Amino acid sequence: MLTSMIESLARDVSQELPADGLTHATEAVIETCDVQLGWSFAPADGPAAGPATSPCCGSAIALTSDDGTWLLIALCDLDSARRLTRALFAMDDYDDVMIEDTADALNEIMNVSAGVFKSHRDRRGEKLSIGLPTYLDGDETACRPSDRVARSSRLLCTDDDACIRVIAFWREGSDSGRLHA
Amino acid sequence: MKILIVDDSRAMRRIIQRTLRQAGFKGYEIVEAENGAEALDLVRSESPDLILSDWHMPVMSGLEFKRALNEADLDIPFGFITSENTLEMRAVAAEAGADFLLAKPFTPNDMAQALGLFVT
Repeated sequence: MLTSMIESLARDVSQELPADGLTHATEAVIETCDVQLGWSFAPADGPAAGPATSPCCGSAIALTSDDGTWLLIALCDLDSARRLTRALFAMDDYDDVMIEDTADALNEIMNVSAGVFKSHRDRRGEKLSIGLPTYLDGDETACRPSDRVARSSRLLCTDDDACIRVIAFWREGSDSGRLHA
Repeated sequence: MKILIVDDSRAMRRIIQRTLRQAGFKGYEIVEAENGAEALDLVRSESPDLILSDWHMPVMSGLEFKRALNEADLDIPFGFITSENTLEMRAVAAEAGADFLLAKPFTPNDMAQALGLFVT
């Protein structure tokens, strides 16, 4: 379901992103995780985020302007998501990480990242309004995108193999209401 | 000392409390609200010494909440903690009488610097 939704979005959006769009999205997630978690993500090679057998989850958030809509998506394997959640909420190792905690954590990471992204774009004169984040719950295939999706995304990993795939979609025009997760 | 945290995100309220502890602010009573309207009620019933508020919230935004406090002559130290970090938004916050704006993401050091004047 999540995989088909992302592939469908990828077919529906502009193939050319506005200048530096993916770079700004990537930088926003890196800065947010660095400041808020103390985690250092860096661009990594390869199609996968996490082990092939791990379910994939994530969060999406839309930012709109008069010119169009950005949809930023972060996907990660469940193990990375749980580790990120523990770090964000300073949970002890013996605390159970519930799905609600993971959803809250990923949505908040994307919410803050969207604010950083908005600041980047504002410096280019692009005035954006931030929407609400949506938690995405999927199977293991969603973290292994097609070439089409991969072109609009970057894989980020830490030294200890926590990984996030950041996807940036752009749809031009005022009729971009469909570009929401 | 009592600190009122206003944010519609349960996650961000947890993060703010965690960061307060990491910044060395311990032993304070925390009161939470999900929006400005709920916070306005809590200001009257709980008399907080400091308010930390998000900007975008349903029902009543942080800016509307601050303006309601001004109209009611409730002069309580007030800071925005928000993803809105443009110069334009900072000017609006200052004009509304906010004492500071702490942009997300923030470190414990950022928190300590922003709150240092108001938390003893």
